Amino acid sequence: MASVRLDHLSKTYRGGIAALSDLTVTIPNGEFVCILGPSGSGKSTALKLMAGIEEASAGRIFFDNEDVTLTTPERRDVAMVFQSYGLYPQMTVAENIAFPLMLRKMPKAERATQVEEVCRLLGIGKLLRRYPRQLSGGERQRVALGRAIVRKPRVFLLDEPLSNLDANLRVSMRQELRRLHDILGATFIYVTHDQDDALAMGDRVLVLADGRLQQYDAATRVYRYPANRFVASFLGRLPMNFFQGHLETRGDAVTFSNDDLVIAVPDGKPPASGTATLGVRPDAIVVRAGQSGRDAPVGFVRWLEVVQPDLYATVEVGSHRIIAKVPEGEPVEVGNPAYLHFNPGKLHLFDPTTGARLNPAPEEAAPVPRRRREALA
Amino acid sequence: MIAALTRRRSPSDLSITNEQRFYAGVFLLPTVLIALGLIAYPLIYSLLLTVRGEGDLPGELGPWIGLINWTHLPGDPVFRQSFIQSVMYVVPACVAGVIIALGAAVVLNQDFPGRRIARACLLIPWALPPVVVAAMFEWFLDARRGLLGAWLTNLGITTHPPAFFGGIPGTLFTLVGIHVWKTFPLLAIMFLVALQYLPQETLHAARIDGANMLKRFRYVVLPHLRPTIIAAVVIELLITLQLFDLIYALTLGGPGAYSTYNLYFYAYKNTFEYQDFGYGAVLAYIVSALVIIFALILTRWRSARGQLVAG
Repeated sequence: MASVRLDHLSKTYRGGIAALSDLTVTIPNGEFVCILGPSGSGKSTALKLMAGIEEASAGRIFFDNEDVTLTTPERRDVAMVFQSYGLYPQMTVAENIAFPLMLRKMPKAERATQVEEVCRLLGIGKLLRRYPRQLSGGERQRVALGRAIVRKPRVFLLDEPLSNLDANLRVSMRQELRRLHDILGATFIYVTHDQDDALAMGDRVLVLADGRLQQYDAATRVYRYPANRFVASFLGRLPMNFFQGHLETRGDAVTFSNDDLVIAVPDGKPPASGTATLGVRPDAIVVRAGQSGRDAPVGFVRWLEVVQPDLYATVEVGSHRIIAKVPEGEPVEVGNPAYLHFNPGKLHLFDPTTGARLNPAPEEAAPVPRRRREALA
Repeated sequence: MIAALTRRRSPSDLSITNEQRFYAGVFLLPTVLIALGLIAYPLIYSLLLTVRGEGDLPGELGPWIGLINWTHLPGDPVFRQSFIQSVMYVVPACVAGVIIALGAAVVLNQDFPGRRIARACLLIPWALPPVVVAAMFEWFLDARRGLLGAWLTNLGITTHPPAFFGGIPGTLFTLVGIHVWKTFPLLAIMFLVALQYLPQETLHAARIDGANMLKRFRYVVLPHLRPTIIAAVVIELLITLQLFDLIYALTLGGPGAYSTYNLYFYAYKNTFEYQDFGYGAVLAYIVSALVIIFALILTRWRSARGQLVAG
């Protein structure tokens, strides 16, 4: 088990394509960290650098306090699980799992006990004599996990291991992976483009885009308090609503306004004035049918869609198309007028040029591996 | 009308009309005629040659003589020698050809400057006409002025240039060497294609599991290449069974009476030099039978495994 520290890590491929730029993070020992980003964001490159399959162009990698930047993958003592499993087709399940032990010249009897133990943990004890081609996707993934676990490596690296599984299996494998992590108490670094994977399993989430770190925070906080406009728009099943406008301070009250909207921004001390981008998630806006008595934004419903279990309406307010949640039982219909109520606690303000967050996220206690504590309790 | 149309389109109804049958026949006719003329006729004619005596002109069918040509086979010492020497050609050619081709493919699969040019150069031996290859090696391996002999002597490996075309059975292995040099590019291309499909994730997995380069070759690359290796062995075997041009151009079967004969060459000798068309056809049938058996093994094996191998 080890912590992983990346220090100004960069990777530039031939032809000058920068896959990863200046990444500096520390992944504490025993945590489950998900690296989340769209394709081409450099997340797989980061993992390959940690595994040693790729060589860093600049920067250093530390496992605990040992500099492993120039260590070959054979000697790095990490385990990696791949999207397409990377099993050895000519070997049985037992031989696949025993392979790393065999390379370490462990005696045969000891190897067998360890393989058996791992297979019991993963529930694949009955498959030992089968070949990979005779297994389902989920079973193959378990074998790949087994081959990783049996090593007792310093760090587990997982490269989109659930991407080839169907939706139901994926959900159960998520739980299983998390359970496995909690049992082993090992450092897991999990790369995915799927925010559900990341938020479901990770203690922390590291969001990458264009090879640059966007946010490294507790899984719950990346969704609730996105550090910039990219993170805000990347997370969430429905796109976040963005509005251009400016901020004004009158006394203690701050208001965000443009041609169509005037919205009071509560506490949080945003910069007093200037232009800003307001971001609000669809589930932080409530649609009500009819005309408002007060100064809530009013518009016409253009589109209704179900995103289980809720109903969402697209409401046209002036030049804006705003996606908002329809409360259960509210008689909202396409073509009819409706008004919107913005949840004042869930407004995000961003700098219109840099995209950085303007209103500070509320301070919480340092992110803790919450789920692990529950598991131990 | 609609019923008729839908009936014809139903997948369970595969019957074709007489009209369709007629056109199918018309379109197939040229191919069938060409196949009959070029394959069936010579096959049948040569089979007849083996059981008919001499005609008025060489190659014409004479009176019925029974199976004399076939029964002559087991007692013919030259046939036995040619058969054994065929094996002496095939076995080392397959072993050396596959190993050299595999090595070349692994090297050419690496990323190095000039790789494209090197890959193109790989094909030169395979593309050269056999007579050019023969002339080239005749000079290169000449006992007095040959370059290779001079190199070996200068390096102190031999005291004087070896007689590459003088010894028995040494000359046969000289021919094997030249033949391997000429044919290994074909096998190397097959291996190169297979190496392109080497699963990178498995290779990375092995590396992370702690496998060094040799272990990765042994446990990932070699199992992946296994089907290609089998195909390459069979293909090299087929090509070598039909080796003729180098023998004809370089040794004419010598030194000595028959020391570099193979079955194919012996069949040629009987047919066109001794004008014994009947016995020549028998020998040609033996070679064909061997080729067909091994070709069948290759195709059967390929279709059974569903493997696609270039070449």
